[in-house]
Amino acid sequence: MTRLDWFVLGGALLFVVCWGLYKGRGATTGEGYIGGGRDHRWWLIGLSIIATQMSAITFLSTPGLAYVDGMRFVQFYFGLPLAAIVLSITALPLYHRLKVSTAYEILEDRFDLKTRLLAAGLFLIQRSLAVGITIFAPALVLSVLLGWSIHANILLVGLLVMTYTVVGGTRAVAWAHTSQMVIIAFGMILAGVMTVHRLPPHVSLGDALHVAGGLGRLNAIDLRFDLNNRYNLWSGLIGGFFLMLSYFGTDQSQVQRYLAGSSLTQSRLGLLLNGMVKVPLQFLILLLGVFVFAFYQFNAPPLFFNPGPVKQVMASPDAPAYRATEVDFAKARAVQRQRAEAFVAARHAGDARTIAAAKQQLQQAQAESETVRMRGLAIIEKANPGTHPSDINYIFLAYVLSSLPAGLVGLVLAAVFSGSMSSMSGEISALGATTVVDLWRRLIGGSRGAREVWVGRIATFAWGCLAMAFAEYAARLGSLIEAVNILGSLFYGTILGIFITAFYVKRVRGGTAFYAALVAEAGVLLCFKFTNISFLWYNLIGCLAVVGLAWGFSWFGRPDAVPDPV
Amino acid sequence: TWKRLYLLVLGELLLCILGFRLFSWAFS
Repeated sequence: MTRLDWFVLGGALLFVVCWGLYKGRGATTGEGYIGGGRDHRWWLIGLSIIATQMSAITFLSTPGLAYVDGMRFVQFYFGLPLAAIVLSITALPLYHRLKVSTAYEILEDRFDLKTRLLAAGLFLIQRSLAVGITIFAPALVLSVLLGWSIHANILLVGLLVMTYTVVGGTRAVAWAHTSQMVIIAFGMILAGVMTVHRLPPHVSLGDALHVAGGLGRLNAIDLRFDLNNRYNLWSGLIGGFFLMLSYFGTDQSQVQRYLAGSSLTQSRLGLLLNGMVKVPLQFLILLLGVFVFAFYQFNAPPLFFNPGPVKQVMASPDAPAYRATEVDFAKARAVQRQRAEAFVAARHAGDARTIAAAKQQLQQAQAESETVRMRGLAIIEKANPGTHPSDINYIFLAYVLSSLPAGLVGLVLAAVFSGSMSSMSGEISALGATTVVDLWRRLIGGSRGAREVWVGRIATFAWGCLAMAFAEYAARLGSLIEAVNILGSLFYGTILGIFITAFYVKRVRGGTAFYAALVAEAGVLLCFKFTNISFLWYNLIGCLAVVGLAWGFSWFGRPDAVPDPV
Repeated sequence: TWKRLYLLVLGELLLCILGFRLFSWAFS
């Protein structure tokens, strides 16, 4: 980190906070604080939706995933445009017509209070846990690679976010999102351009892509149907569709973004903008990881990008064996680099047979260096028992810190902080709104006036503090973090099932949906415990189980003559 | 107007899937 990097990083973060405070001033009623004044235009809604979903770990780990596994991850987002269309047709008109402040309000109209509180409670639990991980994960990466204190990092991000989120509410969050997206976009674009620029002079962009493609890193579409395979076209289109339907339709951290629209048209356009932008955006972030992969075909990479577990090895009796493996790895990579150069030369010569032979030799060299790397990984695992060390989250930032020029390092770090802040602000703002609308206003009978602004501020501040406390606790959770990430999919299907039942299964009334949701949730948890089904499918299983059970239970309940308010 | 917009979003998704497939094939 040079002085210029610190200047860029500090300036960017200061700008985000000041911009959010300036644009978020003037909320005088609870509706203004929670609903953002309901005057947002479609582009502001779209940017805010994208920024809320994009956390720091999204673009720290996405290039790392492309480096290790290729571009398959892009399929995870294929259900998103479909979900945006379905929600524009079904949920958005309903939310606007009933003028709700949170998604869970309609469940009381349609079923009863306990169903509303179940959905709101599940949201509060899973989202508060997830927001803790959202700010902890990048803090861990920065602490390992730069030696920064995790606690100071969590405190800094938390306080910066709470400064404008607590004061300005939804409007401040949305406008801060615009500045954060600009910083993230500039950081990623410049990092990509600079990575291509730093390839050897005789290696063109096309050569780099052919090298990456030849080594299996451009496998964006997998047509095979396999329930145990996390990322293929079908898990993305079907499982991803139900996940995104639940996330954008029933998760208050997203619903709050488009409920701030000045009209149904503006809300719909904002959600559809997200549907159009997200897939190409993720493709470009993965492509950045492919460029880093190509860069390291012509430059020496470390055996393992995460220095934390390597330190444990160096303090263990296996240190000499690991050092020897590192030497073997460097030799294998030197051979691989020669083969990559030969492949590029063959491509320039243009003889098809020579190109095919050079490609085969390059693939062979890659397999050999991968064998050595796996040997090194086995030693790392032995020195770090039970932790499954991974370096996916470290690859991109380790590359940035070692290879990009002064100033750009600061900009990429500002993008990392912006990602942390954009997710955290959208999420604690939604947690605060749900607390005010579904608990304080409903159970305690609070008013909607100026007093509610202060209740909203206190609730948002409290959730921010809880998120920071959980992030501190996460430092001690270790490998349980992955479980927390999967936690979302364990509940999303059930919540979505409750909403779909509310919209489409007219004969289900009263507490039927509540009991169906409890039974379905137990089924999803049993699937998680006893099967290998990939977590994306839980969204479909939970949803269908709630709808099916609620419909089945409704035949055994007493007939109810109450007309549908929805 | 809305139906045309929905078709545009669907068309873009289809174009992305085909484009990514073509991209993988072109550089493999």
